[in-house]
Amino acid sequence: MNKIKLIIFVLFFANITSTFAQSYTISGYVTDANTNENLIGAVVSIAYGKIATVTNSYGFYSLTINKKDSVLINVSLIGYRKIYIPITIKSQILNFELTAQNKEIEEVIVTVNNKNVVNNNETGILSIPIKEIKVLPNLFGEVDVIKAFQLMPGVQSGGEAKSGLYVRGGGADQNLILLDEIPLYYVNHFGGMFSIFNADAVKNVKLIKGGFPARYGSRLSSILDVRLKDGNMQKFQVQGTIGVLSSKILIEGPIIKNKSSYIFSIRKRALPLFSLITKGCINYNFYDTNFKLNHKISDKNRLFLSFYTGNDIIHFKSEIEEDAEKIKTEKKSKWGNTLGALRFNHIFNSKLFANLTVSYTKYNYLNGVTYNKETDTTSVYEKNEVSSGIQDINTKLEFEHFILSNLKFRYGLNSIYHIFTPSQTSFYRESNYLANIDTTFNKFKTQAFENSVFAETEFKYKFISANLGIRASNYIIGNTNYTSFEPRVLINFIVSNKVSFKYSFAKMTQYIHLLNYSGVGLPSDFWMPSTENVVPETSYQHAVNASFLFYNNILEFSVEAYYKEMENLITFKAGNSFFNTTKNWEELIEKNGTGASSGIELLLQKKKGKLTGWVGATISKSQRQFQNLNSGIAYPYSYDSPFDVGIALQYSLTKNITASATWTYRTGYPVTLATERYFDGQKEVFIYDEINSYRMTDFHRLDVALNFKRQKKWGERTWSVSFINVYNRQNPYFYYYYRESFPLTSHTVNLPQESEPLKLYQRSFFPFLPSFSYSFSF
Amino acid sequence: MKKISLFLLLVIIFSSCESIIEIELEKKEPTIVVKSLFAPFTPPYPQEFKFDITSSINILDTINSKINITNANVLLYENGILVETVAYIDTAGYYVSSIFPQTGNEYRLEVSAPNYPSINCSNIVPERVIIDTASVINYIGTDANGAPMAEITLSFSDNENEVNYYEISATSPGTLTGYFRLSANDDAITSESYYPSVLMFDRKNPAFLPFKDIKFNGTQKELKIIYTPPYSLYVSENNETRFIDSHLIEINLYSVSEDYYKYRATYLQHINNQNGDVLFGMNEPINVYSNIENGYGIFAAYQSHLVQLEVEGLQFQ
Repeated sequence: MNKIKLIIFVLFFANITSTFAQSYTISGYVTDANTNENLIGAVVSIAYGKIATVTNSYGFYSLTINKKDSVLINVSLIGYRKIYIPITIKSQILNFELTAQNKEIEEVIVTVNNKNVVNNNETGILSIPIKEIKVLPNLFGEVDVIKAFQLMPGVQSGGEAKSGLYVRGGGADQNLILLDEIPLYYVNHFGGMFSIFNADAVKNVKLIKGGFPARYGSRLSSILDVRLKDGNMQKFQVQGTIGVLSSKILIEGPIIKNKSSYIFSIRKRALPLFSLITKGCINYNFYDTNFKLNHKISDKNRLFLSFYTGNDIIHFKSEIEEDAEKIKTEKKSKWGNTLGALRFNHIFNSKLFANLTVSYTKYNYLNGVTYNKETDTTSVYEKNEVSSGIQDINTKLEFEHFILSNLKFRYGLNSIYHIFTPSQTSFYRESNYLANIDTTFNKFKTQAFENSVFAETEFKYKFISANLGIRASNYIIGNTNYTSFEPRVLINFIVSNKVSFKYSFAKMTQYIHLLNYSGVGLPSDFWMPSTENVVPETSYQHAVNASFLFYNNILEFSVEAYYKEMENLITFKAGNSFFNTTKNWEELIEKNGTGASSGIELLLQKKKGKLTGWVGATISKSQRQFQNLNSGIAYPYSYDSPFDVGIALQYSLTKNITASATWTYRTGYPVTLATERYFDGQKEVFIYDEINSYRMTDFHRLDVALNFKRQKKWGERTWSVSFINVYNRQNPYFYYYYRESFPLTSHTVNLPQESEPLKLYQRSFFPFLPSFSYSFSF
Repeated sequence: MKKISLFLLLVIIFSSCESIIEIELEKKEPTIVVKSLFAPFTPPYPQEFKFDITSSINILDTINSKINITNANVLLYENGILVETVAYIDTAGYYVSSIFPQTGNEYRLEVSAPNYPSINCSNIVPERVIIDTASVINYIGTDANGAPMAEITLSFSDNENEVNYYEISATSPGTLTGYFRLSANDDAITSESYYPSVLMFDRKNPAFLPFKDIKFNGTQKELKIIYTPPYSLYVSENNETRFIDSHLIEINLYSVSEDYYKYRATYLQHINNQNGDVLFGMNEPINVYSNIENGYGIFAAYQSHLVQLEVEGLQFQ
């Protein structure tokens, strides 16, 4: 056996060595001809696709060519005209420009040299072109990249209208959300109705839910990699959208033509809907803004400066005036992210690309209540605030080493300095008849270092391609030190041009934890560090995949089965939350929980032609187990949905009119319900059944949209009309018991004989809801 | 607070709909519920050894009152020996034993009734713990509503060889105040999960404060407990005068079994959870602890030591 391994090893490297001797390398960037934006994922190939490479996240490629091979280079990317360029000069640097292609005249020719589901050396990765996301039905005119991924198999939303990501049975905290490579901690606006990502500013987005390359870490379940546009290097350009809920504008242009550019976007609440409806009692406001500069220092050096900030704030006011007494209560909830990053790309030579990133991220959450009571003679003002937050200072250095066209290495290191404010509570009182108080509980910050190094190799040898890697990470907090070695394996057996089988394994480690409420409520995310008592979370995921191309390679079909185990999970103890508590967070949680999820995902995609889109289906099971919860018995995870289907289709009716539709179906999420009650003296006690032992009714919804585009003298305008919940399905948002004339959330109340019986109510969110938006660009 | 929550809930889902749903809740067979907190004979208020035996009710049933099970066969065992078949006392509405529990003995109850699965439960009577010293300061300030606050100080000795569980209550006999609602600043009590935070503007302090000795094991423990004494307000033409009424206070220190403690603590948390708030989020649901096998409720022992103190009246502002 060992001899066979040795022979394979020798043959493989003999092949590489001989290739070295008879080859030369070209490298460069692939860009959009109109904007000079770098293009991610473009395929650069020769010899009818036998030798191919793909541009990286910065649009860079490197291709080593055998001197005997064809000298006709083919560059392609979906949505762009394919180009064929003969190499006449044996130049080291060759940059290519691709021209965007109108969909209606798009040629339906798919050749094997395209990057497709079969030859992709990756599995568990979902990618949707921004152009497609923009024409999908949207809520109040707000296009949302995360909502598009929720239609894909293996991804749960967490409830109607929510922009949550629950990937393969993982929690909301188990997603590493990267904006231009910088982690963000909370990515929703408007109580979770849509994400912070302004689609106009996004260049590329992909979701990795398994088969994680070693360069990714820090979270257990998924990576959402969002890349913003760099800014048009050719001309000044403006895009804008006026919607019911929000409006946005994006400005981009060159600073020095083809050398440096900027992009600035801002999105803000449009109409004060809540304030108008409630006559000022409730006010909700949000905004987000992106700013980016990029500068080509030389052909080999490039600099990017990015900045993002976004905030949500909601106010509730109540005022009661009776006789000589006046009581004012005001509640406030505020959350948001800020980040800044400096990135530097350097090409050492045609085979070695490097990126250095230095960044700062801050997430803040604040919840406050003020109470003011005044009479003729007395006054009291009290303020209670709960705040939490995390700040990261992050340094990352990565190298991509293109040894051969079929052999690539990536290696790098990453160091993050975390500053946690786990849960700080303050209380202030000023009064003319009570003691004045100004005190803060749990007023401390915790610092931690998270360091990692990784190395991965990507190679192709005959019918096998693979991505093998290792990630070593280390976390230091106080005197506690955790270390983890995380092997990553992805092997792709390409049976033919139309069929491949893949296997992947990944161990992931997560050093930070999220505590949030499972019930109804506005966002309330508390990020907590691993400590001496709360150990890091880990997951082990195996996945097998079979991918097929058929119908003249226009249809891609993949089926993927996965099994994931999670360890050291945390959750609130029964009956606990951060609601009005001064206790240390470690006293409120159950630790050392485990989770297991498994499933089969089916995905059929059509990426070309007048009709494009996908149909996805998932059969899955996800559980959690804590020693002190549910009598130690495993119970369904809150976002476990055994069966789920997502369909997204779009059709170009004419050159200027696009129709799209999405349909979602899933089994109802599990809930914990009281099933019995008894009387303890005068009080009524509810008996809750096992955790999450009931399911809400199934969810299904059809949304459709029409987009009318027209070229005007001054530029282009688009009217978008969306119809949400076309057949007015009352989907469950949450359940609650209610007894007439008694408080909504009352569980234990004194009951007179004549009181009404309890009833179980379902709250739904969206009825049939039309919305429209107007977009323009020039 | 609740009004705001309700208002918020209704408004935030401004376009939503509400429907009563027909969900197939598994129709649970009724189960026996036992409520018995028992103690040895302790003057001046000896407790009966009684068992409130009722039926559980399905959540959506229209019945809104207690269902007594009057035809149950109730067997009481003391240290494994059957000592009594306990009879139902119609006038009292519960089963009353003729014996009194004894310190250190284990009591077991077996209950069977037609159409109900049989249940059993047991508990050991803990040692009594004596209040060594007790005193009251009749006025230490006013609370957020301007009501006066008085402070009880008591001390007792904790046994270091085991985990001990306690409870404190205070009442004023002969008045209509019932049990005083109590608060504390002592970590032994405020660290308990059920204990309402000082940050809750509309909190209701509990009348019973269960706690354990984890934070003071084996020491002479001094505890300070705050209550609102009975007070009066006299309004004259130009003046408002407030008085703390002189009163007799009875302070009870209970040494309780672990089951008793778990029941009380989870019961209080269960009640507190009704203060869940949409803005802050709802607490995770919690069941009231039960040590009844095949049933619900509690069968748990305690001992108590009562101290009476005279509290002088006082004029305060």
